[in-house]
Amino acid sequence: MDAHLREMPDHELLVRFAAGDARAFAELLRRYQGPMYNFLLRSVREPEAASDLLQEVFTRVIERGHGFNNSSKFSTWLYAIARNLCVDYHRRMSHRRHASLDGPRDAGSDGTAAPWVERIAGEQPDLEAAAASNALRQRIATAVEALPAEQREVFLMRELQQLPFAEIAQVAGVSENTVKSRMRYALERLQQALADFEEQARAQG
Amino acid sequence: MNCESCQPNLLDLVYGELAPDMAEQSEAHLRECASCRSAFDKLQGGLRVARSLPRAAPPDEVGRQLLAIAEAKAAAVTTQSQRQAAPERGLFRPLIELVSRFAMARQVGMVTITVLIAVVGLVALPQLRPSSPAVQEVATPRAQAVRPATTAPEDKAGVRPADRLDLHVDSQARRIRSKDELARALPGQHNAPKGEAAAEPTAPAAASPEPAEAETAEQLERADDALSAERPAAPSQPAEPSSIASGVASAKSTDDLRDVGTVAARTPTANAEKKSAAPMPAAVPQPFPASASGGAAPALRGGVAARSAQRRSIGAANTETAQAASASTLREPSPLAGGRSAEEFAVPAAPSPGQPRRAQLAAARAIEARGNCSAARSAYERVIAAAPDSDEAGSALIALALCARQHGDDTTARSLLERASKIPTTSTRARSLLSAPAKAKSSRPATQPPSH
Repeated sequence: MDAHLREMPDHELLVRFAAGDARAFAELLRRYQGPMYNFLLRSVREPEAASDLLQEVFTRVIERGHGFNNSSKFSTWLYAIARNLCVDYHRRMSHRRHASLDGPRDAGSDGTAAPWVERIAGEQPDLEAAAASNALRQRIATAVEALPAEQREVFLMRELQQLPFAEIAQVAGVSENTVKSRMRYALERLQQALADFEEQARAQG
Repeated sequence: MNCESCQPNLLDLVYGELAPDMAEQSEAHLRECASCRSAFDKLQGGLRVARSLPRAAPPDEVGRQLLAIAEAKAAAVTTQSQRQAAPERGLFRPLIELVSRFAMARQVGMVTITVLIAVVGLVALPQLRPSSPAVQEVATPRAQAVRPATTAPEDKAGVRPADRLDLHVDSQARRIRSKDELARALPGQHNAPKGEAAAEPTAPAAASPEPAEAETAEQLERADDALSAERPAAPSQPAEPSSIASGVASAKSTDDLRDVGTVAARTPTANAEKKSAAPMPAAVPQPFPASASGGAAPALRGGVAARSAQRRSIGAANTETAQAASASTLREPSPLAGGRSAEEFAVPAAPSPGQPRRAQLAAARAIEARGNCSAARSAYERVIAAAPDSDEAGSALIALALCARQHGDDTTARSLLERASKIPTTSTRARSLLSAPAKAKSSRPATQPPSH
């Protein structure tokens, strides 16, 4: 991929794509595909649904990208599409019973057993540590998925895509102070739920 | 810094997004405040957990599909832009360009046509107004019918009374006599005028168009002669009271008139012989219908000649003058005037057709007031002919009806009153006259109907 595309801002890539440059879209896809998938995964808690929603999000970017008027950032527009699709999904699945969050997760559905690179600080090399890490990851994933929706979306957009709190406020449609407040609550809940795992991690670390 | 101002800064402090001075102050407070420090520690712990969240990799198939869709979209955009950039070619392009060049021509043409129509209309509109003499002078068929056939087309003043009536009013006998009757009664005087009349070129029949413009008394006389000559054959011709007057005037003495009256008495009365005289063109029944007797006519012929001679002497230039002049020659008083001399009964000038109807009616009434209702007949007829349905025509019809009653012609009077009853302003009076009994005729001699 061209190096100059990597340094190009998002809106310029979109303009280039609207002009007929498919490589610009590829760069955009490279930047946002991973975090977007995890955002969707932690929101809908089902990998297949997350894949479908991922394709839907970027298909809409392809179809409507030429009409993007640059009044806001591309990431804001992108996560607004994703957030709306997640809301629509939860409405359709409102009568569906979710898999018990307390039960053990299937490694496949969770996606944590997939051959992807761990990014946990303090990676455990030994098998016992690895198993503990996997358990910790599952616990963390479970804890995140257990967060209230409004706290979860703020937490995910901040932690997965590193969106500024002001931009998250635009996506969520609330004030920045509200977003920060939700984030603090989410962090406190995660910290409380995983206190043992942190102690365990320290003890193992 | 206190706890209240430090708490909001903890999240930014955890994320390292706090301004340096604010961060230093907050950290200084944290060193001193245990609760804020505890809160800060919780946030840091949660952040560490959050950073431990496992990230899943998206399926490769989704990426490939998205890239395929994007490439197709990009290709379509490129193709469309290439089409727009390329000049349009085709068979219809030159035609479209040609048509577009004249796209506004149609609108311009329509505007031009509209302006032309408006201009033509503004120019032609004044000419279409009914102000031309030809339009104004078109007479209604009824009006034309009212005019007697004797009306000379060249006569600007209209019908000359002398041409119409062939009657003479015998003021003493209080009767109207025809020209013939008068002529018989006054043979002496009739001869010369007759000769003179005969010497003169015979004017066309009354029913036929008159000779040239008869403004002078001479022309008037010719018309009279022609009229008198044809009166017997043209029963439709109305009697002329002026002729009667002239005939009476021709009578040298009362005895002559009495003779005339005797002759007239011998003739059947108008009531007995209701000769269905052809009505006047305006359907105005003749108030003095011609009788079957032709004897009365000759009696007045001499009077006609005498009248012509008188007119010649007058040299009248128009109808009114000639009429007045002839009336002034009356030697014997009119029977209606109560025995006054004819000179006192100078017939007022007959109204001219050009006068307003009211003026014409007033002139006719003036003539009648002088004691000569028969002389006023033509004037009344003129008023009726001008506007048969007008108020003035109604008044003229009533006047003629009264005159007819005076002369014993109830039938004619009734017919005239029935016509007047159809006019709103005179209907009441006409109906009352119709219901009123006619005046007794016993004291009057039988009216000598004129001969036509």
